[in-house]
Amino acid sequence: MPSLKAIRNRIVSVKNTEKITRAMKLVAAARLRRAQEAITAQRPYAQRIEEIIAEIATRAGESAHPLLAQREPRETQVLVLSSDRGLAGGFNSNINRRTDRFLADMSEQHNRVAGLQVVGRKGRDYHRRRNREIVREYVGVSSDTALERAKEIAVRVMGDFQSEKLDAVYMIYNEFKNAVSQQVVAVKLLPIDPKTLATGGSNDFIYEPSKEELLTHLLPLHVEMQIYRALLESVASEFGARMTAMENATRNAKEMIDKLQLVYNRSRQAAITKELLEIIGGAEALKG
Amino acid sequence: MRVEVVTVKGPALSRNDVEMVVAPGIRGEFTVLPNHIPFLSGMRTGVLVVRRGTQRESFAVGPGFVEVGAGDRVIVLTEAAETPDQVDLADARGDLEKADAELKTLVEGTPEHTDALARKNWALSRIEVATKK
Repeated sequence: MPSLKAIRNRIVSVKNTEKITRAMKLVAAARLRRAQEAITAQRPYAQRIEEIIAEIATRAGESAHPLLAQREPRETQVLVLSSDRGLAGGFNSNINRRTDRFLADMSEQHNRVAGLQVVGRKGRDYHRRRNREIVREYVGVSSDTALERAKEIAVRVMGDFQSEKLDAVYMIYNEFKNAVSQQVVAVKLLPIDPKTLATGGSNDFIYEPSKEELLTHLLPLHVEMQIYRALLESVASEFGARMTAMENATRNAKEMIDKLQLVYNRSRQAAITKELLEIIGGAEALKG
Repeated sequence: MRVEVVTVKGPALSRNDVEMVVAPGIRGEFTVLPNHIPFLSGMRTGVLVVRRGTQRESFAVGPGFVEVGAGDRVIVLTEAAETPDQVDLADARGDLEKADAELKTLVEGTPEHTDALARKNWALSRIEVATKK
């Protein structure tokens, strides 16, 4: 039986842990809201651009722009979106497992993967330990810096794709369903397939300048928005996962406190009873 | 006409009963009046002017697109948009100075040069809308 003091110390320590997990949950909830707002805010813009591209690209055909070119995929690059911090349930391990499977599939199809671009420390460390080629890493991505990072990544992959250093680019990230559910997806970023784009109401526009020239402005924006949205969804998913994880941790801490409190009360009662018995025993003996 | 300006950070502004829109098109400034045919144009950084009656408003806009759709609906898709009140004049002047200084040391055609030039134009259009209300 541990001493009363030892139990009391345990209770204090678990209470402190509970305070931390509860605070982490609240912080995650606030950040989640910010990321969700950014996702909602960019939607009308991204959607309209997508619709316009779908309209122009289907009219102009595959040869209208280099970013639409479907080539035999020899060199493929993968953009992996993980997080900088852990304590987010299965968030990072799900991403890493999916990436492993993706790479295995690729080598089965004899496609070379020309390196990974990794967002987040957790993913970077994982792949570094496995000696995989990391072309580029990005840390410290939040919903505020996501747009800037997206532009940076977009410029780089589009450059490599157009110079035919790369034939395909994929993204693996946690898609944000809602605060309690995230799903890992692998989507193709380049080349852009106009058939997969959302189409809006069709308007027979007069284009200025030409369709082809407009595409050179529109397609990079589209790639940028795809990456931006994936980054935001990944951030939102991270905080959603952390919220759930921390909620569970807080609940477990509470249960543990209750149990310890019970043990503590019992031990205390037992000690008091023992003392009483001793006093009574002593008094009885004196009466003789 | 109804004019909507939409950016990455969300819908920036909208105006109803607009009589005339002047936008900085890639091929030069153009004017949209009611009953315009469907029209899609690239837009460069500059000043978007919206007129309603005697009221005339200017907005700083970044690069993007102007879409004139059915039902006299004009949608301006742009990277950034600011109303004259939103412009931080000191900040814009600072940006202009910095971009100008960078441009002197950069070679034309490099990505850095293009980037600095874009920042210069954005600063110029912000200053323009803020100073000539």
